[in-house]
Amino acid sequence: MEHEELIEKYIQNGLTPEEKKVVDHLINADPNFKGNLKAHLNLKKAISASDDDAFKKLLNEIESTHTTKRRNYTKWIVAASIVLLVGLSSILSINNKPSNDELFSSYFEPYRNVIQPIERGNNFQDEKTIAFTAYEKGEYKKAFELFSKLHTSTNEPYYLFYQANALLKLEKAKEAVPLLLKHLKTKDTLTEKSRWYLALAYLKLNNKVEAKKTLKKVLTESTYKTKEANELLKKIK
Amino acid sequence: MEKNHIVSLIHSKPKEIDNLYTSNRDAFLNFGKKYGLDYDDLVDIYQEAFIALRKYAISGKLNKVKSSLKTYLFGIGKYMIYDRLKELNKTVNYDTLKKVEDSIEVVPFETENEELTIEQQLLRSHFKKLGKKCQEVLTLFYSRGLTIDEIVECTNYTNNSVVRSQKSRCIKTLKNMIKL
Repeated sequence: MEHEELIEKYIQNGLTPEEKKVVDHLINADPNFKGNLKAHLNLKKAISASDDDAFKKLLNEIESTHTTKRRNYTKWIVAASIVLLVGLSSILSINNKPSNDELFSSYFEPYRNVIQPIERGNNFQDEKTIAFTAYEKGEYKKAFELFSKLHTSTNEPYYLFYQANALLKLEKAKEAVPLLLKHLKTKDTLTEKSRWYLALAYLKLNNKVEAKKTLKKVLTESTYKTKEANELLKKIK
Repeated sequence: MEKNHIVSLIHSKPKEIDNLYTSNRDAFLNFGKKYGLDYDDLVDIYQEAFIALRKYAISGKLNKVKSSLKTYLFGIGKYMIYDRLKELNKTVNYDTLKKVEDSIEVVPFETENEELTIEQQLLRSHFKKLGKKCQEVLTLFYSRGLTIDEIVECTNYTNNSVVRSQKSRCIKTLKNMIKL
């Protein structure tokens, strides 16, 4: 058998036991054969390594199609978890820490009627009395309309203040703000209180910046509700 | 073992490998989960086991194996899972392993840690610069262990003398590349 053929079979693990003996003998007896065999074994080793690399690359490519599917799936899970967490934390924070809207509700109380003492049983009622009676009864819509009318006819600043109070109770904080700002420019006994209600109006509107700014003014410029203003400043988120 | 699978492994045609790899992948990951390894570890092990399986196909070892490809592949994988657990814990918690009951027989696999010599490394890097035809014929012969006749069967070469001359020409080119 030719040496080449023996080497070929050796490389491919195809030698018969007899051929194996011949090869073993040649390795010891023929340096040329030995060198030649070694060269082919080197080729086998190098080319196998290269082939393995290519196969690993192929497996990685196949795997990446699976992993991408999983990644997309994972992405959805993560996204869903975040939504859930955000949802949960907002629920929890409502439980732990009141929202600005809730803060408003717990601090806001329409300012009492200090303008028109209501005498029960008095059959004669002027518009002013009707307005404040409505206000005291909690008929804020009616009261607001009457206060507006009275303000136009009398130009008394305190009507602005009570209009705003009625509006805040009616959850119309946005409309209350300009009235309170207008009232603040006037000088009457209630102006001092207006600042506090303005702060609450901003709170209701979730305008934290203005609410805090106004509360600070409550603290520095008035004596009304300073304790509450201080508390609120700490609670506003 | 299924003869067609062995042939697929040896020839390593991407589509056939994809089929074999994918059809057993999820089952293996499920199988491995019982041992408490994480997803990434199991994917790595599955790939290693698959590479080992192919090596056995090429060396002719699978021809004598009686079990199915899946059972054998899982057996190699199980051996590698034990190896990985040993790595992680130093000592395997045999109580946990006892609880894992499956009929898969472990197939030991020794990784060849034999580094390539400098000459072999040189051959490998230059081999990748050879033309596609040369790479193909040399890969089929040296790595896949196909005989010249088998190469004629699975390629466009018309007869074995064409294959032989092509092979010697390619080796000559490769050797010249290294000398330069």
